[in-house]
Amino acid sequence: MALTGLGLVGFLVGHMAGHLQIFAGKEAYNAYAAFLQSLGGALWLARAGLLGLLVAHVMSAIKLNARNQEARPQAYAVKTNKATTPYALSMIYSGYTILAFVVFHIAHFTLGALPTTEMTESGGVRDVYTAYVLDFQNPLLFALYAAAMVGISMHLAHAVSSTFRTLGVMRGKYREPLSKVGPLVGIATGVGFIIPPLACLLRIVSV
Amino acid sequence: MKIKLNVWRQAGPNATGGLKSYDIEVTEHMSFLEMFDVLNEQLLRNPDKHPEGPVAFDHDCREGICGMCSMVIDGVPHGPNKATTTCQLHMRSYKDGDEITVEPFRAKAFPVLRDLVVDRSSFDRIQHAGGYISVRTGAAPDANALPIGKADADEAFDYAACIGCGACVAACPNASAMLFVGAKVSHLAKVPQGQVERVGRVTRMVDVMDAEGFGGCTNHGECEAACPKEISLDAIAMLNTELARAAVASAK
Ligand code: HEM
Ligand code: SF4
Ligand code: FES
Repeated sequence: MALTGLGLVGFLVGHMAGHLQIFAGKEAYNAYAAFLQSLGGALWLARAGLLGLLVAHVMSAIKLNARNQEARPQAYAVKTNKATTPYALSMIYSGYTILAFVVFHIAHFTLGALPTTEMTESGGVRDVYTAYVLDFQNPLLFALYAAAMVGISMHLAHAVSSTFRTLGVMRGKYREPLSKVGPLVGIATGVGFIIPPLACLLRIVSV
Repeated sequence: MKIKLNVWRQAGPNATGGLKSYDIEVTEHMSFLEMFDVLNEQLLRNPDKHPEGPVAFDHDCREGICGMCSMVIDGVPHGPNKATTTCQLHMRSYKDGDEITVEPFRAKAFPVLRDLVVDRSSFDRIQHAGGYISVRTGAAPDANALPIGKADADEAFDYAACIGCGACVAACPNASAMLFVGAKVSHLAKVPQGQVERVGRVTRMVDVMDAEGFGGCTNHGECEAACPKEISLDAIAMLNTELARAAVASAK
């Protein structure tokens, strides 16, 4: 759980940094997209690695969730929680939200299988920038992405600090500071991902 | 003061149970368990009205050291007060007219035997798997023959405070036993007497923990909040470190 989760967090941070380049303008963003495409074999290797991480993470999540439900066959009539958080209690649901989003997101941008803006060429490379900006002027599409980012924020708010304890580093004097890192990373990731689409929606970034 | 009690009644391990309500008159000086003594006297005096008989509940020392008094009181093991066992909870924590729901600890690894009594021998089997040390028998060694650093001694002592009550499992949304096992493993990992069996201990105890049907820890922190001995979540971080250390050591 922790190791696959950590690998996925690593990807997310890189992916978010990539998207923030939308503010650097059309040329820079398209060059970044073209650079990723030019990786060829390496790109496929990265995709396979990510898929492997995701599959392993989801499979251990389903197993863990089933084990934990079996561990308490009869629920309490009254259960009062004193310490946990809503996002810790909803990890499996925020997880499934992310999974649904990943499928949608790949269909949208990677496969171009949705009836969204047609990808054209500009300056000899695929004009991802224009398609991206026009798509996110659609409030419905923006709302879908925003909802998914709430899911990711909630997942990470619990997951990151949880990983620190799983790895054994969050104890003694490190406990307090590290327990704050999860919620911070959660908020930063959600906000960081939604800023570029928001900028398109509000026409701060335009074609 | 008048209290309305909703108590889980279950005739045996395989019987279907349910909550049953009783009205009872108590004084604020009574402990929570004394309230049950009074209730049981009422039930015994009136067998026609109460064919279900007295409420079976676990208790022994009634001074917060044995860990027997397993009850989930209004959704919290050992009741609402911090660092307090059920036997040390007093009715002055409640007020006239309160309604209180009392259920047994609920976990697959703690099956209900009757009413509020659960079978916690799964904890014993975890302890048998590794919660011991090997020492030479003979005369007791001199008190200072084996020096232990102050910081380690303090930490070991805090973990050793665990009374094996099982409240951590009862409180955990996943019915995980990581706090209990963490306390036992960390206690012995911190003192020189525990070093001989250190590597095998943690893997054996965790294997038995898994086999007994406890859930997996997802770091909710409910165990620490419910623990009457205030065992810190650091025990779980420490347990994970010990597991990783054992994996490295046995790979060598
Ligand atoms: C970008 C994608 C994802 C990232 C970055 C991520 C990250 C993480 C991390 C770091 C953990 C904590 C591991 C630990 O404490 O040991 C975790 C736990 C978990 N994840 Fe994910 N995850 C992702 C997607 C998913 C998906 C698609 C599911 C779908 C089922 C899922 C379900 C879970 C569950 C059930 C847990 C454990 C529950 C808990 O600790 O409370 N995750 N995740
Ligand atoms: S860790 Fe605390 S709650 Fe768990 S068994 Fe020990 S004393 Fe009881
Ligand atoms: S009866 Fe011994 S701890 Fe409560």
